[in-house]
Amino acid sequence: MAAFPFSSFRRTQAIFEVRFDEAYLVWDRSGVVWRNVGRNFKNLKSQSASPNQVTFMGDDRFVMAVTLDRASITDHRPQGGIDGTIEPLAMFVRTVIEDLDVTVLTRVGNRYLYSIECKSLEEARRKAQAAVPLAVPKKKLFSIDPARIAPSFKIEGDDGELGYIAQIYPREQRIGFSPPPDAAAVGLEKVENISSELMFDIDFFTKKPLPVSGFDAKSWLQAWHKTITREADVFFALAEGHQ
Amino acid sequence: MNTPTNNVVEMVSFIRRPEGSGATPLLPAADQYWIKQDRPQSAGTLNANVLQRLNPDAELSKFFTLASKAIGQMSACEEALLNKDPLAADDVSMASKITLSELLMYRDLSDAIGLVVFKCFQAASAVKAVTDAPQLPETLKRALQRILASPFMKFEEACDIVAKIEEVASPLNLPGYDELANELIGNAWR
Repeated sequence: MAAFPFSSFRRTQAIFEVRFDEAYLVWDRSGVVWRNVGRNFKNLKSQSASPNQVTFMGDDRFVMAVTLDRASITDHRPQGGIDGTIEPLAMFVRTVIEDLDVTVLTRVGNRYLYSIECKSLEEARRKAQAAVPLAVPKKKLFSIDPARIAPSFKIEGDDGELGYIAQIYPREQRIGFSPPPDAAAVGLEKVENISSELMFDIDFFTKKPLPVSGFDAKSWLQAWHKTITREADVFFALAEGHQ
Repeated sequence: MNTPTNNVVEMVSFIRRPEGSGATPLLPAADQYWIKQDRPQSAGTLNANVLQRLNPDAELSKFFTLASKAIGQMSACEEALLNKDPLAADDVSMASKITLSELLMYRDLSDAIGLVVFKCFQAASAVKAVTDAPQLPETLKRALQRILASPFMKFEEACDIVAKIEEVASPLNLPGYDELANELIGNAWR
């Protein structure tokens, strides 16, 4: 059994993106798209809007963007069953396709980030070493003992129709918040958060154009997720050096 | 015009991601996904039934399997008719009715699937001997091939397919249709 089975990872992000040839209707129907998308969220906030790209945030959880040639939605707080993620992702893409009269999708991509939280980057690296033991040097390298080892493991697959990139790596994220001076009046102060994680990052995508008449977003999302749950542990076993 | 409370909401734009190391800074998280290097795309388009490879247990995958079986039966029926073997053609035709009735179980997958499969089932059921409607197997095969390639086609497109089936099947007097029409509107529909 792998050092870190799939069940020990937590789903932290899910992204669904479709690309299409320039949909000029985005300049005419942007409002219709967001009105229809907004019906599915209790709270929809505009983040940025320009003729070529509009970004919204739904329920403080989903970030959605529509541009001239692509639409993407990211679930930043996936929780509970997978349906709670798949349904909004599928709804968003379905709405964009219908409202912009998209007929062919040039690329469909679905990426999931899973993580194991660590106390420090050092711990994340140690876990990565346990997950990818064969990438760790056992003696001096270039005459010096390796001081920091952050092994990663990556497999890319592509059969001309479908493709994937699966990776495991340690990661540190630093996010800071510097409020403007007038925010002192409401008691807001500078904040900096650091998170260290061992990541399992898997990205599925299509390699051929897909006519919309043969595309059902929910079915694709379910199929890709099923593939992950079925075969993630095989990937971890490979990373450890087992066949 | 901004109200004072909006200032707090707008502060989100002050969030920054410091460059912790000397490495090339990453784009904001939302943009990272878009910078992937794409290899040139292969020619042709992706067939909807590629989903079968990913999730053979899904309802849609089961529909694809069954629809392929029905298409195979229609082909076999056509071939038997060409070989002037009406008994073999009838055998396959009878078997295809069972497959079509099973296909009807998947009518909820999409409006197009529901409409086309129902019409195929209705037309096939109206045939007592396949020699009465020798064009029907080919018409149904084409309809099923279309729905297999485009299971989520627009309803209008599905209606066009149904119209083509009706052109072949309408002289067959669909079961119970005449009786029902007579009962409801008498002879006015004729």
